[in-house]
Amino acid sequence: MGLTRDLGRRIELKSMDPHCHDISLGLYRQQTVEGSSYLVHTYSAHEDAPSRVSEIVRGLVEVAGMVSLAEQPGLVAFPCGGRHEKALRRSFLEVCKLPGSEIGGVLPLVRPDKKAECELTIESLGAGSYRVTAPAAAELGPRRCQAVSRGFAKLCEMDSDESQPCVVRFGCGMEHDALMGALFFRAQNVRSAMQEDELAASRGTLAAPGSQDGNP
Amino acid sequence: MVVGDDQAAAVPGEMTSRERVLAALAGSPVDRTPVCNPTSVATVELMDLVDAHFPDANRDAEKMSRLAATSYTELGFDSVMPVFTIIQESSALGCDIQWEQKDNWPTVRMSRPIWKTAQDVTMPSDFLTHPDIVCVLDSIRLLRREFGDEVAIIGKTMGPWTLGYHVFGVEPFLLMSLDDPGHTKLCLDRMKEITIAFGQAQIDAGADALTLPDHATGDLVSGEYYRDFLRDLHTELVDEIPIPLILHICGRTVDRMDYIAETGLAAFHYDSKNAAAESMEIVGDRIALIGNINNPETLFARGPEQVAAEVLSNLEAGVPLVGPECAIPLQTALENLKEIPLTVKRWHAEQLDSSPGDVTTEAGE
Repeated sequence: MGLTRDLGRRIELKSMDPHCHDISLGLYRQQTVEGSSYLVHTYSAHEDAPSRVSEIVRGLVEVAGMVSLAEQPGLVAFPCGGRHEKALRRSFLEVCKLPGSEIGGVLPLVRPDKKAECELTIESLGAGSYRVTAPAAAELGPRRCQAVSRGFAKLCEMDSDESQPCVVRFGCGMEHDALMGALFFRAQNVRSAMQEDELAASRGTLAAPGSQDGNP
Repeated sequence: MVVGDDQAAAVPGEMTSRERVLAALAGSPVDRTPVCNPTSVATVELMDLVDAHFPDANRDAEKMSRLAATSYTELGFDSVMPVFTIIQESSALGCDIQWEQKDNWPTVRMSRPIWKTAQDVTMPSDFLTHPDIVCVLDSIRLLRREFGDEVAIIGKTMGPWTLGYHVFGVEPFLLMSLDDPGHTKLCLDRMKEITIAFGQAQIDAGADALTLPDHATGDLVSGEYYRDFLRDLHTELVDEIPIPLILHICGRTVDRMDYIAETGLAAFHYDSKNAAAESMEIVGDRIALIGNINNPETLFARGPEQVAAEVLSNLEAGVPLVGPECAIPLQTALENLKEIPLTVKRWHAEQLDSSPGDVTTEAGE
Protein backbone atom coordinates (compact mmCIF):
# COMPACT_ATOMS: atom_id res chain seq x y z
CA MET A 1 0.00 0.00 0.00
CA GLY A 2 2.73 2.45 0.98
CA LEU A 3 5.25 4.13 -1.27
CA THR A 4 7.99 4.62 1.30
CA ARG A 5 10.79 2.07 1.35
CA ASP A 6 12.96 0.44 3.96
CA LEU A 7 16.14 2.33 3.25
CA GLY A 8 17.93 1.51 6.49
CA ARG A 9 18.62 3.90 9.35
CA ARG A 10 18.54 7.53 8.35
CA ILE A 11 21.60 9.21 9.81
CA GLU A 12 21.34 12.67 8.28
CA LEU A 13 18.88 14.87 6.47
CA LYS A 14 19.15 18.00 4.40
CA SER A 15 15.59 19.16 4.76
CA MET A 16 15.63 21.78 2.01
CA ASP A 17 18.17 21.70 -0.77
CA PRO A 18 18.44 25.26 -2.11
CA HIS A 19 20.15 23.97 -5.24
CA CYS A 20 17.33 21.63 -6.26
CA HIS A 21 13.81 22.96 -5.68
CA ASP A 22 14.03 22.59 -1.89
CA ILE A 23 13.83 18.81 -2.05
CA SER A 24 14.81 16.83 1.05
CA LEU A 25 17.87 14.61 0.83
CA GLY A 26 18.43 11.77 3.25
CA LEU A 27 21.53 9.74 4.03
CA TYR A 28 20.73 6.18 5.13
CA ARG A 29 22.96 3.54 6.64
CA GLN A 30 22.60 0.06 5.20
CA GLN A 31 24.26 -2.84 6.89
CA THR A 32 25.61 -5.76 4.87
CA VAL A 33 27.92 -8.63 5.75
CA GLU A 34 30.75 -6.60 4.24
CA GLY A 35 30.15 -3.63 6.51
CA SER A 36 28.30 -0.35 6.50
CA SER A 37 27.29 1.39 3.31
CA TYR A 38 25.33 4.58 2.85
CA LEU A 39 22.52 5.52 0.51
CA VAL A 40 21.68 9.02 -0.65
CA HIS A 41 17.97 9.19 -1.33
CA THR A 42 15.14 11.62 -1.90
CA TYR A 43 11.44 10.89 -1.99
CA SER A 44 10.92 13.82 -4.31
CA ALA A 45 9.59 12.95 -7.74
CA HIS A 46 10.88 16.21 -9.19
CA GLU A 47 12.51 15.62 -12.56
CA ASP A 48 15.76 17.20 -11.35
CA ALA A 49 15.98 15.09 -8.21
CA PRO A 50 17.85 12.06 -9.65
CA SER A 51 20.64 14.20 -11.07
CA ARG A 52 20.94 16.08 -7.78
CA VAL A 53 21.30 12.78 -5.90
CA SER A 54 24.04 11.83 -8.36
CA GLU A 55 25.81 15.11 -7.66
CA ILE A 56 25.75 14.51 -3.92
CA VAL A 57 27.03 10.97 -4.37
CA ARG A 58 29.81 12.27 -6.59
CA GLY A 59 30.64 14.80 -3.89
CA LEU A 60 30.92 12.12 -1.23
CA VAL A 61 33.21 10.13 -3.49
CA GLU A 62 35.41 12.97 -4.68
CA VAL A 63 35.41 15.22 -1.64
CA ALA A 64 35.12 12.74 1.24
CA GLY A 65 37.01 9.85 -0.33
CA MET A 66 34.18 7.33 -0.37
CA VAL A 67 33.68 4.71 -3.06
CA SER A 68 30.54 4.03 -5.10
CA LEU A 69 29.14 0.55 -4.72
CA ALA A 70 27.85 -1.34 -7.70
CA GLU A 71 24.89 -2.92 -5.89
CA GLN A 72 22.65 0.11 -6.02
CA PRO A 73 22.76 3.61 -7.48
CA GLY A 74 23.43 6.17 -4.77
CA LEU A 75 25.19 3.68 -2.49
CA VAL A 76 28.64 4.60 -1.14
CA ALA A 77 31.03 3.34 1.50
CA PHE A 78 34.40 4.19 2.99
CA PRO A 79 37.22 2.07 1.54
CA CYS A 80 38.07 0.91 5.06
CA GLY A 81 34.53 -0.45 5.56
CA GLY A 82 34.19 1.62 8.72
CA ARG A 83 31.44 4.02 9.63
CA HIS A 84 33.02 7.35 10.55
CA GLU A 85 29.45 8.56 10.72
CA LYS A 86 30.00 11.87 12.42
CA ALA A 87 32.50 12.88 9.75
CA LEU A 88 30.27 11.48 7.03
CA ARG A 89 27.21 13.36 8.24
CA ARG A 90 29.17 16.59 8.31
CA SER A 91 30.61 15.92 4.84
CA PHE A 92 27.15 15.16 3.47
CA LEU A 93 25.77 18.45 4.79
CA GLU A 94 28.76 20.36 3.41
CA VAL A 95 28.36 18.79 -0.03
CA CYS A 96 24.63 19.57 -0.01
CA LYS A 97 25.47 23.25 0.46
CA LEU A 98 27.13 23.40 -2.95
CA PRO A 99 25.60 23.66 -6.40
CA GLY A 100 26.52 20.77 -8.66
CA SER A 101 28.99 22.89 -10.59
CA GLU A 102 31.05 23.48 -7.45
CA ILE A 103 31.06 19.93 -6.15
CA GLY A 104 34.14 17.84 -6.66
CA GLY A 105 37.84 17.57 -6.14
CA VAL A 106 39.84 16.69 -3.07
CA LEU A 107 40.34 19.69 -0.83
CA PRO A 108 43.91 20.60 0.10
CA LEU A 109 45.58 19.62 3.36
CA VAL A 110 47.07 23.09 3.67
CA ARG A 111 44.86 26.02 4.65
CA PRO A 112 45.38 29.57 5.81
CA ASP A 113 44.39 30.15 9.42
CA LYS A 114 43.37 33.66 10.47
CA LYS A 115 43.83 33.07 14.17
CA ALA A 116 47.32 31.60 13.76
CA GLU A 117 48.20 34.19 11.10
CA CYS A 118 49.87 31.50 9.06
CA GLU A 119 49.11 28.37 7.04
CA LEU A 120 48.32 25.13 8.81
CA THR A 121 49.19 21.76 7.29
CA ILE A 122 47.82 18.30 7.89
CA GLU A 123 50.51 15.71 7.60
CA SER A 124 49.71 12.02 7.27
CA LEU A 125 51.73 9.83 9.62
CA GLY A 126 50.34 6.58 8.22
CA ALA A 127 48.02 4.03 9.82
CA GLY A 128 45.20 6.57 10.04
CA SER A 129 47.20 9.11 12.07
CA TYR A 130 47.49 12.78 11.17
CA ARG A 131 49.45 15.68 12.63
CA VAL A 132 48.43 19.32 12.34
CA THR A 133 51.49 21.54 11.91
CA ALA A 134 52.33 25.24 11.57
CA PRO A 135 55.53 26.96 10.46
CA ALA A 136 58.05 27.18 13.30
CA ALA A 137 58.06 30.97 13.03
CA ALA A 138 54.34 31.30 13.68
CA GLU A 139 54.00 32.37 17.31
CA LEU A 140 50.36 31.30 17.64
CA GLY A 141 50.85 28.20 15.53
CA PRO A 142 51.29 25.50 18.21
CA ARG A 143 48.19 26.56 20.10
CA ARG A 144 46.08 26.62 16.96
CA CYS A 145 47.39 23.23 15.86
CA GLN A 146 46.17 21.78 19.14
CA ALA A 147 42.81 23.49 18.76
CA VAL A 148 42.35 22.22 15.21
CA SER A 149 43.34 18.71 16.31
CA ARG A 150 40.70 18.87 19.00
CA GLY A 151 38.30 20.03 16.33
CA PHE A 152 39.04 16.98 14.22
CA ALA A 153 38.70 14.70 17.24
CA LYS A 154 35.25 16.15 17.87
CA LEU A 155 33.98 16.38 14.31
CA CYS A 156 35.34 13.05 13.06
CA GLU A 157 35.29 11.04 16.30
CA MET A 158 39.03 10.55 15.98
CA ASP A 159 41.26 9.34 18.77
CA SER A 160 43.64 11.77 20.37
CA ASP A 161 46.63 11.36 22.63
CA GLU A 162 47.44 13.87 25.37
CA SER A 163 51.16 13.25 24.91
CA GLN A 164 50.83 14.33 21.28
CA PRO A 165 48.21 17.08 21.32
CA CYS A 166 48.53 17.86 17.62
CA VAL A 167 48.01 14.27 16.48
CA VAL A 168 44.67 12.58 15.81
CA ARG A 169 43.95 9.09 14.56
CA PHE A 170 41.11 7.25 12.85
CA GLY A 171 40.13 4.16 14.80
CA CYS A 172 40.11 2.05 11.63
CA GLY A 173 43.83 2.60 11.21
CA MET A 174 43.37 3.53 7.54
CA GLU A 175 44.19 6.77 5.77
CA HIS A 176 41.40 9.21 4.97
CA ASP A 177 43.22 12.12 3.38
CA ALA A 178 40.19 13.33 1.44
CA LEU A 179 38.01 13.35 4.53
CA MET A 180 40.64 15.35 6.43
CA GLY A 181 40.75 17.88 3.62
CA ALA A 182 36.98 18.05 3.39
CA LEU A 183 36.54 18.89 7.06
CA PHE A 184 39.71 20.94 7.62
CA PHE A 185 37.90 24.28 7.52
CA ARG A 186 35.26 22.95 9.91
CA ALA A 187 37.89 21.74 12.36
CA GLN A 188 39.28 25.28 12.34
CA ASN A 189 35.95 26.58 13.59
CA VAL A 190 34.15 23.85 15.46
CA ARG A 191 31.96 26.30 17.33
CA SER A 192 30.22 27.47 14.18
CA ALA A 193 29.67 23.85 13.14
CA MET A 194 28.06 23.14 16.51
CA GLN A 195 25.89 26.24 16.28
CA GLU A 196 24.77 25.16 12.84
CA ASP A 197 23.82 21.75 14.27
CA GLU A 198 21.84 23.32 17.10
CA LEU A 199 19.98 25.60 14.72
CA ALA A 200 19.13 22.70 12.43
CA ALA A 201 17.90 20.61 15.36
CA SER A 202 15.59 23.32 16.65
CA ARG A 203 14.10 24.07 13.25
CA GLY A 204 10.96 22.15 12.48
CA THR A 205 10.07 21.51 16.11
CA LEU A 206 6.75 23.00 17.13
CA ALA A 207 6.95 24.89 20.39
CA ALA A 208 3.91 25.49 22.56
CA PRO A 209 2.48 28.98 21.95
CA GLY A 210 3.73 30.17 25.31
CA SER A 211 7.27 29.23 24.33
CA GLN A 212 7.22 30.84 20.91
CA ASP A 213 9.02 34.12 20.78
CA GLY A 214 6.62 35.74 18.35
CA ASN A 215 8.99 36.91 15.65
CA PRO A 216 8.58 40.62 15.08
CA MET B 1 -4.48 -8.80 28.16
CA VAL B 2 -7.87 -8.22 29.71
CA VAL B 3 -11.06 -9.34 28.03
CA GLY B 4 -13.88 -6.82 27.94
CA ASP B 5 -16.21 -8.91 30.14
CA ASP B 6 -19.46 -7.16 29.50
CA GLN B 7 -19.07 -6.38 25.84
CA ALA B 8 -18.91 -8.38 22.63
CA ALA B 9 -15.46 -9.65 21.83
CA ALA B 10 -13.68 -8.39 18.73
CA VAL B 11 -11.45 -10.72 16.78
CA PRO B 12 -7.94 -9.25 16.54
CA GLY B 13 -7.55 -7.46 13.24
CA GLU B 14 -11.25 -7.31 12.53
CA MET B 15 -11.81 -3.75 13.65
CA THR B 16 -11.13 -1.02 11.16
CA SER B 17 -8.75 1.69 12.22
CA ARG B 18 -11.68 4.05 12.66
CA GLU B 19 -13.60 1.60 14.83
CA ARG B 20 -10.50 0.98 16.90
CA VAL B 21 -9.82 4.66 17.59
CA LEU B 22 -13.44 5.51 18.34
CA ALA B 23 -13.81 2.51 20.62
CA ALA B 24 -10.70 3.45 22.57
CA LEU B 25 -11.90 7.05 22.87
CA ALA B 26 -15.19 5.72 24.24
CA GLY B 27 -13.43 3.41 26.70
CA SER B 28 -14.81 0.35 24.91
CA PRO B 29 -12.91 -2.86 24.10
CA VAL B 30 -10.55 -2.85 21.14
CA ASP B 31 -8.82 -5.62 19.22
CA ARG B 32 -5.51 -3.87 19.76
CA THR B 33 -4.32 -0.52 21.05
CA PRO B 34 -4.84 2.10 18.35
CA VAL B 35 -1.95 4.25 17.17
CA CYS B 36 -3.21 7.78 17.04
CA ASN B 37 -1.87 11.18 16.07
CA PRO B 38 -4.11 13.89 17.49
CA THR B 39 -1.69 16.60 16.39
CA SER B 40 0.59 16.04 13.38
CA VAL B 41 2.95 13.44 11.92
CA ALA B 42 3.90 15.41 8.82
CA THR B 43 7.57 15.26 7.81
CA VAL B 44 9.57 16.88 5.04
CA GLU B 45 10.13 13.48 3.42
CA LEU B 46 6.41 12.73 3.39
CA MET B 47 5.87 16.17 1.87
CA ASP B 48 8.24 15.20 -0.95
CA LEU B 49 6.61 11.81 -1.35
CA VAL B 50 3.16 13.23 -2.06
CA ASP B 51 4.28 16.60 -3.43
CA ALA B 52 2.47 18.51 -0.70
CA HIS B 53 4.83 20.84 1.10
CA PHE B 54 4.48 23.37 3.88
CA PRO B 55 3.39 26.12 3.72
CA ASP B 56 1.03 25.22 0.84
CA ALA B 57 -0.11 22.04 2.59
CA ASN B 58 -1.46 24.25 5.37
CA ARG B 59 -3.49 26.41 3.00
CA ASP B 60 -4.55 24.15 0.14
CA ALA B 61 -7.15 21.49 0.89
CA GLU B 62 -5.99 18.99 -1.70
CA LYS B 63 -2.37 19.13 -0.56
CA MET B 64 -3.42 19.11 3.08
CA SER B 65 -5.39 15.90 2.49
CA ARG B 66 -2.61 14.20 0.56
CA LEU B 67 -0.11 14.88 3.31
CA ALA B 68 -2.53 13.90 6.08
CA ALA B 69 -3.33 10.59 4.38
CA THR B 70 0.31 9.45 4.67
CA SER B 71 -0.21 8.96 8.38
CA TYR B 72 -2.41 5.98 7.49
CA THR B 73 -1.09 4.88 4.11
CA GLU B 74 2.63 5.17 4.82
CA LEU B 75 3.12 5.09 8.57
CA GLY B 76 0.35 2.68 9.54
CA PHE B 77 -1.36 4.89 12.11
CA ASP B 78 -5.06 4.40 12.79
CA SER B 79 -5.96 8.06 12.34
CA VAL B 80 -5.38 10.92 9.97
CA MET B 81 -5.13 14.55 11.05
CA PRO B 82 -5.10 17.22 8.38
CA VAL B 83 -4.88 20.27 10.65
CA PHE B 84 -1.12 20.32 11.08
CA THR B 85 -0.84 23.84 12.47
CA ILE B 86 -2.24 25.63 15.50
CA ILE B 87 -2.89 28.89 13.69
CA GLN B 88 -5.71 28.33 11.18
CA GLU B 89 -8.32 30.09 13.35
CA SER B 90 -5.94 32.85 14.35
CA SER B 91 -5.28 33.56 10.69
CA ALA B 92 -9.01 33.80 10.08
CA LEU B 93 -9.38 36.12 13.09
CA GLY B 94 -6.85 38.51 11.58
CA CYS B 95 -3.63 37.69 13.41
CA ASP B 96 -0.36 38.31 11.63
CA ILE B 97 0.97 34.91 10.55
CA GLN B 98 4.48 33.94 9.63
CA TRP B 99 3.79 31.03 7.28
CA GLU B 100 7.41 29.87 7.10
CA GLN B 101 8.83 27.33 4.68
CA LYS B 102 8.71 23.62 4.01
CA ASP B 103 10.85 22.73 7.03
CA ASN B 104 9.32 24.92 9.70
CA TRP B 105 6.03 25.59 11.45
CA PRO B 106 3.94 28.66 10.85
CA THR B 107 3.53 30.87 13.89
CA VAL B 108 1.40 33.78 15.01
CA ARG B 109 3.37 36.98 15.51
CA MET B 110 2.13 37.32 19.07
CA SER B 111 4.11 40.50 19.55
CA ARG B 112 1.42 42.12 17.39
CA PRO B 113 -1.80 41.27 19.24
CA ILE B 114 -5.10 42.12 17.61
CA TRP B 115 -7.30 42.40 20.73
CA LYS B 116 -6.99 44.11 24.11
CA THR B 117 -10.23 43.56 26.01
CA ALA B 118 -13.30 41.34 26.05
CA GLN B 119 -15.12 43.99 24.03
CA ASP B 120 -12.79 43.22 21.13
CA VAL B 121 -13.59 39.51 21.16
CA THR B 122 -15.86 38.92 18.22
CA MET B 123 -15.95 36.20 15.64
CA PRO B 124 -15.87 37.81 12.19
CA SER B 125 -19.00 37.12 10.17
CA ASP B 126 -16.87 35.55 7.45
CA PHE B 127 -14.86 33.40 9.88
CA LEU B 128 -16.10 30.08 8.53
CA THR B 129 -15.56 31.16 4.93
CA HIS B 130 -12.00 32.38 5.46
CA PRO B 131 -9.66 30.44 3.13
CA ASP B 132 -7.56 29.07 6.01
CA ILE B 133 -10.71 27.67 7.61
CA VAL B 134 -12.28 26.46 4.38
CA CYS B 135 -9.19 24.49 3.41
CA VAL B 136 -9.45 22.51 6.67
CA LEU B 137 -13.14 21.78 6.10
CA ASP B 138 -12.57 20.81 2.47
CA SER B 139 -9.64 18.64 3.45
CA ILE B 140 -11.78 16.71 5.96
CA ARG B 141 -14.42 16.21 3.26
CA LEU B 142 -11.78 14.94 0.83
CA LEU B 143 -10.39 12.52 3.39
CA ARG B 144 -13.85 11.23 4.23
CA ARG B 145 -14.57 10.73 0.55
CA GLU B 146 -11.29 8.88 0.04
CA PHE B 147 -11.28 6.69 3.13
CA GLY B 148 -14.94 6.35 4.06
CA ASP B 149 -15.15 4.58 7.41
CA GLU B 150 -11.72 2.99 7.12
CA VAL B 151 -9.66 5.37 9.24
CA ALA B 152 -10.46 7.84 11.99
CA ILE B 153 -10.43 11.42 10.78
CA ILE B 154 -9.42 13.76 13.55
CA GLY B 155 -9.93 17.50 13.25
CA LYS B 156 -8.66 20.26 15.48
CA THR B 157 -10.22 23.30 17.08
CA MET B 158 -8.08 25.50 19.26
CA GLY B 159 -9.21 26.05 22.82
CA PRO B 160 -9.86 29.56 24.16
CA TRP B 161 -6.73 29.67 26.30
CA THR B 162 -4.47 29.16 23.26
CA LEU B 163 -6.55 31.58 21.23
CA GLY B 164 -6.00 34.05 24.07
CA TYR B 165 -2.22 33.79 23.62
CA HIS B 166 -2.59 34.35 19.90
CA VAL B 167 -4.99 37.29 19.88
CA PHE B 168 -3.92 39.12 23.08
CA GLY B 169 -0.24 38.08 23.13
CA VAL B 170 1.17 35.65 25.70
CA GLU B 171 2.35 38.18 28.25
CA PRO B 172 -0.66 40.54 28.14
CA PHE B 173 -3.01 37.56 28.38
CA LEU B 174 -1.23 36.04 31.37
CA LEU B 175 -1.02 39.43 33.09
CA MET B 176 -4.74 39.94 32.50
CA SER B 177 -5.41 36.59 34.15
CA LEU B 178 -3.52 37.79 37.24
CA ASP B 179 -4.90 41.33 37.35
CA ASP B 180 -8.50 40.68 36.39
CA PRO B 181 -9.56 37.04 36.50
CA GLY B 182 -13.20 37.97 35.91
CA HIS B 183 -12.43 39.85 32.73
CA THR B 184 -10.19 36.99 31.58
CA LYS B 185 -13.03 34.53 32.11
CA LEU B 186 -15.30 36.76 30.07
CA CYS B 187 -12.73 36.76 27.25
CA LEU B 188 -12.41 32.98 27.46
CA ASP B 189 -16.16 32.54 27.42
CA ARG B 190 -16.47 34.65 24.28
CA MET B 191 -13.55 32.92 22.56
CA LYS B 192 -15.16 29.59 23.38
CA GLU B 193 -17.73 30.39 20.70
CA ILE B 194 -14.95 30.38 18.11
CA THR B 195 -13.80 26.97 19.32
CA ILE B 196 -17.34 25.61 19.05
CA ALA B 197 -18.05 27.14 15.65
CA PHE B 198 -14.90 25.72 14.04
CA GLY B 199 -15.41 22.39 15.78
CA GLN B 200 -19.00 22.09 14.62
CA ALA B 201 -18.02 23.00 11.06
CA GLN B 202 -15.45 20.16 11.09
CA ILE B 203 -18.07 17.76 12.40
CA ASP B 204 -20.34 18.78 9.54
CA ALA B 205 -17.45 18.15 7.15
CA GLY B 206 -16.97 14.62 8.50
CA ALA B 207 -14.57 14.68 11.44
CA ASP B 208 -14.81 11.71 13.82
CA ALA B 209 -13.12 13.40 16.76
CA LEU B 210 -11.53 16.74 17.49
CA THR B 211 -8.26 17.64 19.12
CA LEU B 212 -8.63 20.57 21.49
CA PRO B 213 -5.21 22.13 22.05
CA ASP B 214 -5.48 24.50 24.98
CA HIS B 215 -1.98 25.31 26.11
CA ALA B 216 -2.35 25.83 29.84
CA THR B 217 1.15 24.41 30.03
CA GLY B 218 2.96 23.49 33.21
CA ASP B 219 5.76 25.98 32.58
CA LEU B 220 3.38 28.97 32.49
CA VAL B 221 0.37 28.22 34.66
CA SER B 222 -0.38 26.05 37.67
CA GLY B 223 -2.81 23.20 38.09
CA GLU B 224 -5.04 25.53 40.10
CA TYR B 225 -5.13 27.87 37.12
CA TYR B 226 -6.47 25.03 35.01
CA ARG B 227 -9.12 24.32 37.65
CA ASP B 228 -10.14 27.97 38.04
CA PHE B 229 -10.12 29.07 34.39
CA LEU B 230 -10.55 26.01 32.21
CA ARG B 231 -12.08 22.98 33.91
CA ASP B 232 -15.67 24.20 33.73
CA LEU B 233 -15.15 25.74 30.33
CA HIS B 234 -13.87 22.42 28.96
CA THR B 235 -16.89 20.70 30.49
CA GLU B 236 -19.10 23.15 28.61
CA LEU B 237 -17.28 22.31 25.39
CA VAL B 238 -18.02 18.63 25.97
CA ASP B 239 -21.69 19.54 26.22
CA GLU B 240 -21.61 21.73 23.12
CA ILE B 241 -19.52 19.58 20.77
CA PRO B 242 -21.12 16.19 20.14
CA ILE B 243 -18.09 14.09 19.16
CA PRO B 244 -15.09 12.92 21.21
CA LEU B 245 -12.77 15.74 22.24
CA ILE B 246 -9.06 15.13 22.79
CA LEU B 247 -7.49 17.79 24.99
CA HIS B 248 -3.84 18.54 24.24
CA ILE B 249 -1.59 20.34 26.69
CA CYS B 250 2.20 20.19 26.39
CA GLY B 251 4.62 19.76 29.27
CA ARG B 252 4.33 18.46 32.78
CA THR B 253 0.62 18.28 33.60
CA VAL B 254 0.18 15.70 36.35
CA ASP B 255 -0.85 18.50 38.71
CA ARG B 256 -3.97 19.11 36.58
CA MET B 257 -4.76 15.64 35.28
CA ASP B 258 -7.26 15.03 38.03
CA TYR B 259 -9.16 18.19 37.05
CA ILE B 260 -8.91 17.28 33.37
CA ALA B 261 -10.35 13.86 34.10
CA GLU B 262 -13.40 15.53 35.69
CA THR B 263 -14.41 17.38 32.52
CA GLY B 264 -15.95 14.55 30.52
CA LEU B 265 -13.45 15.03 27.71
CA ALA B 266 -12.90 11.75 25.84
CA ALA B 267 -9.13 11.86 25.95
CA PHE B 268 -6.06 13.73 27.07
CA HIS B 269 -3.07 13.88 24.72
CA TYR B 270 -0.19 14.03 27.15
CA ASP B 271 3.50 14.84 27.09
CA SER B 272 6.46 12.58 27.77
CA LYS B 273 7.33 14.77 30.77
CA ASN B 274 4.59 12.76 32.52
CA ALA B 275 5.36 9.10 33.16
CA ALA B 276 2.78 6.77 31.66
CA ALA B 277 2.16 4.74 34.81
CA GLU B 278 2.00 7.83 37.02
CA SER B 279 -0.51 9.46 34.67
CA MET B 280 -2.69 6.36 34.37
CA GLU B 281 -2.81 6.13 38.13
CA ILE B 282 -4.24 9.64 38.34
CA VAL B 283 -6.85 9.45 35.59
CA GLY B 284 -7.86 5.79 35.86
CA ASP B 285 -10.69 5.05 33.45
CA ARG B 286 -12.21 8.53 33.69
CA ILE B 287 -10.50 9.74 30.53
CA ALA B 288 -8.43 8.00 27.84
CA LEU B 289 -4.79 8.98 27.66
CA ILE B 290 -3.04 9.35 24.29
CA GLY B 291 0.68 9.73 23.87
CA ASN B 292 3.37 10.02 25.00
CA ILE B 293 6.32 9.14 22.81
CA ASN B 294 8.97 11.80 23.24
CA ASN B 295 9.57 14.02 20.21
CA PRO B 296 12.88 15.88 20.50
CA GLU B 297 14.96 13.24 22.20
CA THR B 298 13.45 10.00 20.91
CA LEU B 299 11.53 10.34 17.67
CA PHE B 300 13.79 13.05 16.28
CA ALA B 301 17.21 12.18 17.63
CA ARG B 302 17.28 8.46 18.36
CA GLY B 303 16.40 5.21 16.63
CA PRO B 304 13.61 2.64 16.39
CA GLU B 305 14.88 0.68 19.40
CA GLN B 306 14.36 3.66 21.71
CA VAL B 307 10.98 4.41 20.11
CA ALA B 308 9.89 0.83 20.73
CA ALA B 309 10.94 1.06 24.37
CA GLU B 310 8.72 4.10 24.94
CA VAL B 311 5.79 2.49 23.13
CA LEU B 312 6.14 -0.57 25.37
CA SER B 313 6.22 1.58 28.46
CA ASN B 314 2.85 3.07 27.45
CA LEU B 315 1.35 -0.29 26.54
CA GLU B 316 2.46 -1.85 29.79
CA ALA B 317 1.00 1.06 31.75
CA GLY B 318 -2.34 0.49 30.03
CA VAL B 319 -2.41 3.72 28.04
CA PRO B 320 -5.39 3.30 25.69
CA LEU B 321 -4.04 5.08 22.59
CA VAL B 322 -0.38 5.36 21.67
CA GLY B 323 1.29 8.05 19.59
CA PRO B 324 3.75 10.93 19.60
CA GLU B 325 3.42 13.43 22.45
CA CYS B 326 2.83 16.42 20.19
CA ALA B 327 3.27 17.50 16.57
CA ILE B 328 6.42 15.68 15.57
CA PRO B 329 9.48 17.58 14.35
CA LEU B 330 9.28 17.92 10.58
CA GLN B 331 12.69 16.28 10.15
CA THR B 332 11.76 13.08 12.01
CA ALA B 333 12.93 9.87 10.35
CA LEU B 334 10.17 7.72 8.88
CA GLU B 335 11.57 4.50 10.32
CA ASN B 336 11.02 5.89 13.81
CA LEU B 337 7.39 6.72 13.11
CA LYS B 338 6.73 3.35 11.49
CA GLU B 339 8.16 1.68 14.56
CA ILE B 340 5.23 2.86 16.70
CA PRO B 341 2.51 0.72 15.02
CA LEU B 342 4.98 -2.12 14.49
CA THR B 343 5.74 -2.28 18.20
CA VAL B 344 2.06 -2.08 19.12
CA LYS B 345 1.21 -4.97 16.79
CA ARG B 346 4.17 -7.03 17.97
CA TRP B 347 3.28 -6.48 21.62
CA HIS B 348 -0.32 -7.53 21.10
CA ALA B 349 0.75 -10.61 19.14
CA GLU B 350 3.00 -11.58 22.03
CA GLN B 351 0.21 -11.01 24.52
CA LEU B 352 -2.11 -13.15 22.45
CA ASP B 353 0.46 -15.95 22.22
CA SER B 354 0.85 -15.97 25.98
CA SER B 355 -2.92 -16.03 26.65
CA PRO B 356 -4.65 -17.63 23.65
CA GLY B 357 -8.08 -17.53 25.28
CA ASP B 358 -8.27 -13.75 25.33
CA VAL B 359 -9.24 -12.06 22.13
CA THR B 360 -10.28 -8.62 23.21
CA THR B 361 -8.51 -6.03 25.22
CA GLU B 362 -10.16 -3.46 27.40
CA ALA B 363 -8.94 -0.28 25.83
CA GLY B 364 -5.26 -0.18 26.43
CA GLU B 365 -4.88 -2.92 29.01
